[in-house]
Amino acid sequence: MADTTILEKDLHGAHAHGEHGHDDHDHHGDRYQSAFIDNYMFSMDHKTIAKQFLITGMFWAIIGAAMSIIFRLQLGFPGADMSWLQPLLGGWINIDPATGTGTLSQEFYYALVTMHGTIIVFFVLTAGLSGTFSNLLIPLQIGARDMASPLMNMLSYWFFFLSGLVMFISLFLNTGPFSGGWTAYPPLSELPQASDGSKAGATMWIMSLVLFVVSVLLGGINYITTVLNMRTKGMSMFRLPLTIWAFLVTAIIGLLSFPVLASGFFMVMLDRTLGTSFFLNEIYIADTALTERVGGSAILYQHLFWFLGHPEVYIIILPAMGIVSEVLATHARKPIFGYKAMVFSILAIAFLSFIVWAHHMFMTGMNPFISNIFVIFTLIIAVPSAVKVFNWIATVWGGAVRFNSAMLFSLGFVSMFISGGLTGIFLGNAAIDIQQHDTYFVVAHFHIVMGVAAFFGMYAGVYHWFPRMYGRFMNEFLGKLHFWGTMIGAYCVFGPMHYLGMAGVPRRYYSFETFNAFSEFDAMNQFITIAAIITFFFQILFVVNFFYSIYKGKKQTEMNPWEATTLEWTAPIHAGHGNWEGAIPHVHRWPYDLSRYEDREFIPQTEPLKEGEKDGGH
Amino acid sequence: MAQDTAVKLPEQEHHKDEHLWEGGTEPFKTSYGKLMMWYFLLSDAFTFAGFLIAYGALRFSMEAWPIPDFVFSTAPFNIHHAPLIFVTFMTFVLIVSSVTVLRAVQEGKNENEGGVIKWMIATIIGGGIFLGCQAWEWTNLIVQEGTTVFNNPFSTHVEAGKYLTLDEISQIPKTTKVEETIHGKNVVYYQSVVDGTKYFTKADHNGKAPESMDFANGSSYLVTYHDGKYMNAAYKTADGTIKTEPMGPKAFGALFFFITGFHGFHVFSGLVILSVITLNVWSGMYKKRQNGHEMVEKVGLYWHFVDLVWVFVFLAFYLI
Amino acid sequence: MEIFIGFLCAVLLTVLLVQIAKARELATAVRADHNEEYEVNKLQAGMGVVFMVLFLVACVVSFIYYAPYVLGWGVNTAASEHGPMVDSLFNTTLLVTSIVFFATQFALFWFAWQYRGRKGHKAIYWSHNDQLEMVWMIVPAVVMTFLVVQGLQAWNTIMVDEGDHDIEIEATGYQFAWEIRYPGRDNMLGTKDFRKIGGKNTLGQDWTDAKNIDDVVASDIYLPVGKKIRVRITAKDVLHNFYLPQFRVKMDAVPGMPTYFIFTPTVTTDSMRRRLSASPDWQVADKQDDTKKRYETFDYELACAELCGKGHYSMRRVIKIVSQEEYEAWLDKQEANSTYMSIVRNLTDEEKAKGKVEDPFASTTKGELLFEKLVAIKDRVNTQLKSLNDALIVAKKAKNAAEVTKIEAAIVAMQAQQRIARITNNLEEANTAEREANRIASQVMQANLTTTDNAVIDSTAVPLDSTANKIQ
Repeated sequence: MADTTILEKDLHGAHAHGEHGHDDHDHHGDRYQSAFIDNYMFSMDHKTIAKQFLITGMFWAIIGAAMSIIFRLQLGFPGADMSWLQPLLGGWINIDPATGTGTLSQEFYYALVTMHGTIIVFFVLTAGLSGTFSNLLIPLQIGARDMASPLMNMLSYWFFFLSGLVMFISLFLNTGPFSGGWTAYPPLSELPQASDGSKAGATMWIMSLVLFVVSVLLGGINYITTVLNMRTKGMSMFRLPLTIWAFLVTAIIGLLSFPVLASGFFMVMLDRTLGTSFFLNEIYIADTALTERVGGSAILYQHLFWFLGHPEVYIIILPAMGIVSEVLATHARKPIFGYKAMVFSILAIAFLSFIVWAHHMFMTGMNPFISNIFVIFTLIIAVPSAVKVFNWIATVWGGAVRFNSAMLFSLGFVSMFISGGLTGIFLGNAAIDIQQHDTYFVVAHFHIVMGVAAFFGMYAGVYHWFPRMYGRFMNEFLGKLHFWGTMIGAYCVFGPMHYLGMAGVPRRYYSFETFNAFSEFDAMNQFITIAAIITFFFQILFVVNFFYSIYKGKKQTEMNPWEATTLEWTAPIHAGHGNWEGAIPHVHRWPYDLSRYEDREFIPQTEPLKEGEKDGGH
Repeated sequence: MAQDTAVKLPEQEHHKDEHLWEGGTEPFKTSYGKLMMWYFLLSDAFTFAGFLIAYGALRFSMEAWPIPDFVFSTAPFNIHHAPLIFVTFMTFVLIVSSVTVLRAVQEGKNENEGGVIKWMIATIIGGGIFLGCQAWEWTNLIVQEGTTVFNNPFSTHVEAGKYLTLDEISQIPKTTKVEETIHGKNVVYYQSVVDGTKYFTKADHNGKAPESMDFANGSSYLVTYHDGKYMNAAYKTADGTIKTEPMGPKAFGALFFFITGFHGFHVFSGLVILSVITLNVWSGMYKKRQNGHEMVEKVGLYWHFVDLVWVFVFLAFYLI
Repeated sequence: MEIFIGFLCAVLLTVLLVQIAKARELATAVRADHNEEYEVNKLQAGMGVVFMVLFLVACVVSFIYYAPYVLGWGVNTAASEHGPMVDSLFNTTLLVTSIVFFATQFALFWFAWQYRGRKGHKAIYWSHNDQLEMVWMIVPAVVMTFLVVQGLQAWNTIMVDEGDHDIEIEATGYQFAWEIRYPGRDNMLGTKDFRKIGGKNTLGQDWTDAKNIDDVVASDIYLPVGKKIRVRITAKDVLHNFYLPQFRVKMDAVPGMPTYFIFTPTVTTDSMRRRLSASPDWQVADKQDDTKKRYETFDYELACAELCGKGHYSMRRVIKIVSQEEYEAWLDKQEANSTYMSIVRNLTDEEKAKGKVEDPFASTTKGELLFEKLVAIKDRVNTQLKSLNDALIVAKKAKNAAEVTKIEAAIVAMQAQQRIARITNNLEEANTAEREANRIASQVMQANLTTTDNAVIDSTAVPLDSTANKIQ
């Protein structure tokens, strides 16, 4: 795989290009990373690390999705016998000794819901999305041999792995994994007496996420520094593909917001272990008044959590948006419409994302006056998002669209982002939120926008850059099947949930039978569950396609199979460490010269401008 | 299909610094390592910010909060009634150590190893003194005054009142007299048979009664503490209700130890890093790199950050 | 067993699909030409348009189908005064977003079809248009501004707390139920302290606070229609959320930090049932009790809307909205269950010692507390009324029309006094009411004494010279 001879050429040829001795530091002679452990496990090559993130992300996605199927079984078929799940779930299925019927224990239902959220939001959509594509594309698209610090990069992955390991172990605890919601609000998350999941499970959950924060910070610092410092000659900021802008801004957001989450989690740990009360006040539980635990504020936790929590959702969606912009442009054979506007939208979204967090807290009993400010900023943030949607549609307009899997998922992304983004406008208006908060309307909103749209971005990226990663193509038939199944399936799963929310049905309910008001939707819940199972099946098709194609996929025979303009396609197929065999290419134009001239279908960034030719964009 | 990678770059006119952003160079004229240190410090700043915001939110939600002048008025060698003197000394030492590390960086730019090592050692000593002082402060609070992460005997009165003498305490109905030896001293107090409340007289750590038995609203007090036992003094309010001194807000202890502890952890790790780098300088490792001992500069940045955070912590806990 | 077969089918299907996939891939590898690509584009783009049409149609159809369930539409109009504000905001937003939704989804899929890659068709190099950017930045901004202004007006109106509420009740959430406390006659909730929770004092009410004497932790929840109600919301152990779906009421319950929500119910339970009876969905048989129709068993429900542990989904209480008269009648019955009276005042000395209960008002003789006196007066007035009602029955049986008219008039007058006796917290007023009640009763009784010997003289009727008339 890794062509170790590149390195030798590199060392001799490097100094002509003014890279600041980076190459000299991290390579130790010409036997660089040839052992399996070095090559694959503790690789410091960004391309390998990207694959590690991707495959680990996929592993967690399967687990997270499987969990959702199990709890959807409970919701869709509450009376059904679940004893067949006992071999897998053991004591979490309560078997009625008289009838032999198995029911899912309530405690475990909530553990599943919590784990599902945590796993998908953090492990899949943050690490699996940013981690994979930032790592794969940043050096290749900006023209660098690798990240600024390959060591930190490698550590970033392994901290993620470690974090996942701790979380995985927590699934097997006797008292069960954490079950207080992925938001982990105290006092529920801090009092072991409140719930089984708040015993050892909660401690491990927090430990896992603290490790995860370390991973994100290590990665983020690297991405920012690399994008700023290691662009090749001619790659000015406004010649960067939108993917890089997205990854850069995402990393900056993460750098500033994850530490606050960590600080909140530290305080939760102190409350849990040392008897402090940062977030506890006047609690009476398990027949005891906790007279020592006074003076804290549960709302303070929510502020600290959502200060990350909101930027987090943009950390998830911005890379997907960047990928989609890139894929749409390439396969529509047109520039992304309004490149600069897209860049400014990303920056605006990033800035605004820091001042809207309390729209998750309208109903916490905060001073209502403060809510005014958050409503205003929340609805303002809809504007740059809308601009992006219009620009994507304008990119498709007038194109010569190639409908491969990557393009289909990008188009699907836009459709999903429209659907999910629009419901955000309801929720951002506090008065509407009075009714819709904590109902299925919220569940529908965030699933469509994160659970579907962000995933679609990820899928588009995988299909599009699979050749870059593995020198082969994923199977198109399965890819298209995957797309249509998921597109239809996802709308079938989450579309009806809007009505549930509008009917007032609350979220995080194990069963609706207790309430007359909420128990009229048996058929709908069954429909959703069945749709979810079918959609899950289509994701398995994707996984099969992915792994099959690594070994048996159609081989890539030309370096630039998509006829794209960006730098990653100028490196050889199966590029080794250092990416380019010779010198790193220089860049002379922006990345969207597609269909610009009658006789030239596309012009790569590396081609110099002709006499009198102006660079594209502004 | 793919174009050959072009090598030639046609000459282009640029403004003086615009070229910094054109790729192939460092826009901030800063190496990647230094940039990374800046970004790390930025993220760490946000972590501390989270804690300090929590401090602000909790502190200002409380009616009674210990007054720093009263809490931090001791120093080693049995010095008392010296409000904030010791912490001022600590802060001064840390700031001086920031100056010494700056000198080390300057010497490093001149590739003067001897100078670097000298000033680095001074910095380490300064940091060590700071940590030592912090350790004394902690020990004093925990052992002498009984302030811990979940117990805080410092507070301010929320009403005016008058401490009761032992005679007056013996008059309290439904109490029995108890005699105990605490810390070698014979202590007499009365305990309620109804709910177990203990009524002590007001006496300081050495058993001395206060100058005045009256106290005003907002005045500071310290619940006397010996060997794990808190002796909440009994007092009478203006309308004759008898109460005992309540313990101070727990959040004070929790926040103080946690935030100064987190900062102290940064100081400690800074000392470790400073030591390692100093050894590396001594071995000549950085001279070879010919980059003006940039590593010293990076560590210097970290040390300045630690100092800056301390200024904010100092502000929050000791001055506001 | 079925699960296993299902799983097996899935596996077989996957294998089948993979085989088809391989075959197709080989086929394309053989014929590498653009026409093939154009065919694919046509098929996929065409499927896109079909999908778009089906999708948008499904949106419309499902909308129509599920409209009857949506709170705020059809028979489900809000049952509170502020509810329609929330609903109209929702509807406005829905209208605006629907327009955008249909327009953009259409544009997306239609353009993808129109501009699919096909023979002789080249893409247009159109990289930006600043005016267009301006337009589609300003138009959404204007629309958002409009929504924000309307939204904040509604929000600030709903959340304002001017202290002008008619009744304040307290809802305390705990794992996994609600305790609802009524303030009693003084219309003030007594203080409570979580450290005092224990035994039967489930809320930790502080008995030294006289306001607690008349507070009642009720087993049902009745509220009067048309009155402004302030709900003080607290929690004992973890976060909960006080959620009344039909009233558009929702607010977190935080231990140690009381929150509030103020609302005015506008539709009684009975009215709501009548309203629902008009809808065919509600005329079906009730699921639990098929002798009744669904609308007949309708009740307003209180739910928890913040994850609080494994029983989060089961914290249900029924809320009945009734007329003012029914409300007062219900309060009348509840009064006897005042927490203070039942777990402190009325305990025997033995029980008190055993439960270590301290009665701060122990020095006041039984029956001498203001509350006790007021309740006693009310009881006596109630008795008066009852005897009048008994007399009415007798008179009706005797077919004595004149007597009936007279007694009915007396009853009406008496009810007015009963009302005062029930709700007043003022001893003077109560005494006056009782005197008046006595007067009314005695008029009727006196007349009766001289008329028939079938008259029932209620031995509990207050005689003219009763000491109860004296000012206390």
